[in-house]
Amino acid sequence: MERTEFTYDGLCSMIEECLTPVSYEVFQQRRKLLVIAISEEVRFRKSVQKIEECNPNIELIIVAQMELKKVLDEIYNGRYQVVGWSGKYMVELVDKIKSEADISRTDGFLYFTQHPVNLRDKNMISIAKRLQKEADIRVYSDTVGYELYEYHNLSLYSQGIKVYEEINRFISLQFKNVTREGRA
Amino acid sequence: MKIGVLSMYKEREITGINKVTMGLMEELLKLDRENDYVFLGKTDWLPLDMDYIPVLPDAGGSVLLNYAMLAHPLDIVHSHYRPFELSEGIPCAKILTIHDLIPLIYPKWYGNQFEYFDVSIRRCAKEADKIIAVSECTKRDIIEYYDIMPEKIDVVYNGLSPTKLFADDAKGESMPELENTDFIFSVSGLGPHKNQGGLAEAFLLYKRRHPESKVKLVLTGPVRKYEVVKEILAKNGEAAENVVFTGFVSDAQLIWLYRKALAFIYVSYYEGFGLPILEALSVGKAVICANSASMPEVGGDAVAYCDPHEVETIEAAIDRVVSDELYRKSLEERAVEQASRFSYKRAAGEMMQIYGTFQN
Repeated sequence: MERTEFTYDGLCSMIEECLTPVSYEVFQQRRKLLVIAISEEVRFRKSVQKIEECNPNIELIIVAQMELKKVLDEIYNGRYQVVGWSGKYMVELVDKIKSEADISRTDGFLYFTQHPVNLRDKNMISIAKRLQKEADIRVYSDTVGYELYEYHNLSLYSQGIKVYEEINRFISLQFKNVTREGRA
Repeated sequence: MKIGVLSMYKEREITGINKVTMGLMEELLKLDRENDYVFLGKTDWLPLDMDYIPVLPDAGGSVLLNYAMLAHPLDIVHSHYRPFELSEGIPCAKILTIHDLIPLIYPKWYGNQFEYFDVSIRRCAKEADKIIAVSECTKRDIIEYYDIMPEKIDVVYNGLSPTKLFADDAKGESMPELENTDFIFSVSGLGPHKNQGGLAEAFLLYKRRHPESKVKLVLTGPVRKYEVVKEILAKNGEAAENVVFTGFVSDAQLIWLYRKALAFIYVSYYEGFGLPILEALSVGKAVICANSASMPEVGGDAVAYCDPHEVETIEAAIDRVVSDELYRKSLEERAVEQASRFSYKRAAGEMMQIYGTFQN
């Protein structure tokens, strides 16, 4: 095994290789997409529009914060089901969706993020992993600038992120101890 | 020394803080023969000849840098916006630029960003070895809201970027629908502190008092953010036809609008710096701006001031600048000189001096 696989850069590369940039045309292959909306409804509508342009027959289940649900219900006027949620999106969301919507035939999950690789998106990845347990679901993220990414190996991706954070935390503790001893 | 730069998030259009990073780094790369610069995290949206250290961004609003710094040691980390976590024992100077503390000043409008500024940026500011404020106003706010010693804060003003956009020979791209129109120009910003409502009220008051005036108000930017303005216009019938929304414009159209306008107006309640004021001054335009926050630092004695909270004073400033040609010309004559006090070349020189204080 080459040494680089154990290096910082190696770990970062391994995580980044779990996702690839794709075009919206990937949605031509999808039947039904579960989409977590963002509060910027103009940007969200543009993304939905791009999905529809690529696949006019696609079905969407949209999940949105309660206040946005009202707006989206008006905009889509029954065309898409909008499931309301309050607060942070957690893995329990999957049960809520299942209780309100028919997720059979769902073969894609899309959420929005600032960066495709992102330490903050743990909840989204947990939701995606839970969905993948139930069906063969492809996972996508849409970033600022309307770039789309597909995740290929969520398990490796989230393990990599965990290792990164653990090492970072370990270093933090080491230096905290060194600093404390130095002061003593 | 090796200096790591942490920029703002990716944007499709380079605006605001990314523009500041772009302007400053362009000049630093030209001027600085001593230090090497590298981005922290892939920053391919800024066309700069800089390598990068991979970073996995954003853990709870703060970029974790311990592991990255052990793998790729740096002498200085300079974040242009985002807070970061770097353990005390890691031998690396920490610099944080703060542009403004708007969410702390207006929590009722920016509640969703309050925690980020109150916790993450506050902690990073406390731990930083040096804070760069983009104006004396921002410096005062950092002292007041974060309780930080003034000695730890240096003011480095912004400049103009891209410089070629504001060059004397840059005429820009005309907008045919406005070719034969006299107008006052303003750029949109996001958020209620930009006082778009006050601007619209004042302009409509001016139109009511001067029905003979053919002058229009042209506003660029995200039209949907102008809901408050549209509500005001809806109540004002025909007068509302004198307000033109262009939506987003290209850089070339923007420079044309600055040059073509009779005057530029910016009546925000609060700015950490106020880049549009500098942009308008740099092309020799008469500027009306608010007398609050950092704006007098940028405007100096070359602009017409008004109280952004008083529609009457905004209207009076519009009236004087539009009606009094001699006064308007006198503002135009002072504009370029005032603008020349701000440049990224100067900012880069000041930053190099600050970096130099961390040389062992």
